[in-house]
Amino acid sequence: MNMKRKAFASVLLSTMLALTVITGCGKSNESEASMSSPSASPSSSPSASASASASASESPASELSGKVVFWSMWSNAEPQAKVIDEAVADFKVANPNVEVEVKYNGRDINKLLKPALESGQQIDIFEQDPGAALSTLKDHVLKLDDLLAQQAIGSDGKTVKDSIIPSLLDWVKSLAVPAGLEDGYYAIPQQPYAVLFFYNKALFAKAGITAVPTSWEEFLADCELLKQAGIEPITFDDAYRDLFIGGYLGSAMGSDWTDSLVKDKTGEMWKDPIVLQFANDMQNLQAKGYFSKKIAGNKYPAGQQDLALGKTAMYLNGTWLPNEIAATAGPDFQWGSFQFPVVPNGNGKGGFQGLSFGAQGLLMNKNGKNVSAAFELVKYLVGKKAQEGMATKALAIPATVDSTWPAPLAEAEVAFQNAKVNMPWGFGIDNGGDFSTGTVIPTFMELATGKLSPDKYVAKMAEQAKKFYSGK
Amino acid sequence: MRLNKSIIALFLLPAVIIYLAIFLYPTLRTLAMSFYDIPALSSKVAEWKYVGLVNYEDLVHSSYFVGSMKNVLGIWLIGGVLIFAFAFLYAVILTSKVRGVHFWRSLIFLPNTVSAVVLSVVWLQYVFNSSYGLLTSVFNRLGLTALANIQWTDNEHIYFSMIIAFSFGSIGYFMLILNAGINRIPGDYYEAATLEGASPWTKFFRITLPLLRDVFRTTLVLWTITAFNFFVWSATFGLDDPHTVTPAFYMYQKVFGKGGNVYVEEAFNVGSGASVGILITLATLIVSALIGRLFPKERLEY
Repeated sequence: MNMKRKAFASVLLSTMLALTVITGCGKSNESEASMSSPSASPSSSPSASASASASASESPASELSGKVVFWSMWSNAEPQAKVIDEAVADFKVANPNVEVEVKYNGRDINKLLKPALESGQQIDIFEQDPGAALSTLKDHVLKLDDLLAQQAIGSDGKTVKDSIIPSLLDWVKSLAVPAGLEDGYYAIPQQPYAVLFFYNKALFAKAGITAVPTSWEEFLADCELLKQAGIEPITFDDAYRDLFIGGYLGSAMGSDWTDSLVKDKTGEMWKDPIVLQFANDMQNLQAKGYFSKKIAGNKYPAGQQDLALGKTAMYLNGTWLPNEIAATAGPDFQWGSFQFPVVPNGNGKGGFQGLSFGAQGLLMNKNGKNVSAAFELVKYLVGKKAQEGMATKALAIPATVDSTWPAPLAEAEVAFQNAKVNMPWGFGIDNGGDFSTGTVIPTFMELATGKLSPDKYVAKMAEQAKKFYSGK
Repeated sequence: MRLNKSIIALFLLPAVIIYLAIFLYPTLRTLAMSFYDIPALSSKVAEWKYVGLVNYEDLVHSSYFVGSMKNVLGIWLIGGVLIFAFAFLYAVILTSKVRGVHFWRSLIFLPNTVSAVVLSVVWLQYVFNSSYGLLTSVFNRLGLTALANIQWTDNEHIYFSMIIAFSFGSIGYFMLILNAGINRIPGDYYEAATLEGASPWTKFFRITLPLLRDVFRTTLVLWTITAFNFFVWSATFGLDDPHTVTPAFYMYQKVFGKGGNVYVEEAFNVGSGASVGILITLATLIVSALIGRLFPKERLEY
């Protein structure tokens, strides 16, 4: 009896838990489904599918057959998956004899892909960060130069190569030789992103700011205006602390300098006057109350929620931000963005020419058995219709030229036009490995919360760097 | 009937083979891996580069890793005191004939049925949140603004916040084991003590504790293993913050990458992760042996 009651109680508890979990999920699924269904129907309009099949009939695509396997980095609940499903459906209409299998791995693809490729599993197309993929999967990637000369789908006679944003293609190409591959294209970039300040236009207008800041001086002036209007100027989350340090130092000195700073074994580079200037400016932001007080304890995504809720005006992040917090921000949120303002007294290697940008990539398996059919599918995935679908449904930047950018990212286009040099994530500040995570970022937090004076910050960093590297 | 020795061996064989295959082989392979530089988990043995003790030397010299060891010892000590104090308290209360024992026991055990990831999100985003969190709201309501303004997840507080949140979820498990142990002690002792006029304190220290020694030793070893493999809470609370990182999470970072953001490129060294794993195993074995020394097995137990 006793046992039975205990068993019953535990069953009851676990059922209740399971129910809450299931209902929680159910709701979100429902809302996603209802959100996407109205937008899905117009996209299958007769004109779009007609143009797709027309362009397909020009090429010998309809004779293709066999099976194509595509591993995606999205999970099937994400809006990107819906766009991919539509592209695959269009492909199947034009190529009825090809069997397509799409596997939505989510970000677990980073762990699953290499073992799968090495065991010889059939994967014809896969999505990866091009930089990471070329360095770890270089024995599996197919050189795409010849294929890129084929006609793109839905781009008025342009080749695939000409239909993609040139700076992204150049960047992807530049990764090949350092990775130990023959010069050429091994990935087709898509979902480009850049690291920018995102701001709430309504709050900027309320504070009387008419243009986005371009220099550090203007940036400070705008912070002051926001503060006067009773608005908290800047916030960030623990996950993106690196961007703020890297953003400043990268803007002043460029990412190569930042990279060598965190790898400097003597600690002497930390005594460079620009580091003291950085420390003074950070202290200034803290002392004047431009930094939200909550930066000390903000746990991702608490800070970006403050931006979405209109409590804070600015947040430094990647261009995926408007999509990520769309549910909280709502459709009426007025998004704006600007590049990290230019910091004075730099070495001329930073500024607006350097932008931390990149993209995801579509890559193909060198050992794939069905390359022609697989590339035909790739053409649909990077076709104008799919890329514009990504823009409207996932608020992603389209990889194709002449495509309209999603409204929240309209201002981000300026930064892409300015950019000449690609800076790595965190502008190189994360390249120090354990030194970056264990020392650079926590010490910056002491500075940004007013617990360490600028002079002491410089002294501490120089000493810690020397100490960290002395054992190596 | 006496069994032939070869028959015994035959019957034991399947179990021994399975044990060797799924426990001993991975352990030995990990030990071997710890002496190599290995670029990825799926790298073939031909891609391994022998580096001798370099992985271990790097770990000893990395202040980040040494900090993680200090963190885990603190978790073991502070968390252990917290958890066992409450687990004993609840176990004793539950065996003292209170009403609704089953309800209370289920309630205290409840956090164990929730995934650690869910629990940590609850603590981070709802309890410790500095704008509308439980602590902030309650302290504000009470007029204790100084306490309400504390940022529970900043550099100074996050370590203790993490230990408190973790301990909250672990008390029920240890309470259940201790509770079962106390229930096995015959009631006669307590009845006799009550007749002699012993206070609840005397009964606890003179009867319960001595007779629970063996159960306590087992729970202590279990706790040591749990604490030394402290992982999920470190991952969810600190990302890779040096204030909350533990060797187990450091090992994960080395083997699977830092995560957090798909856009970060990084170099892996699976060998370094393997050497962390070996160090954790060694530490667990040593501490368990010490616990065995401190609490020798006794015949008088229930």
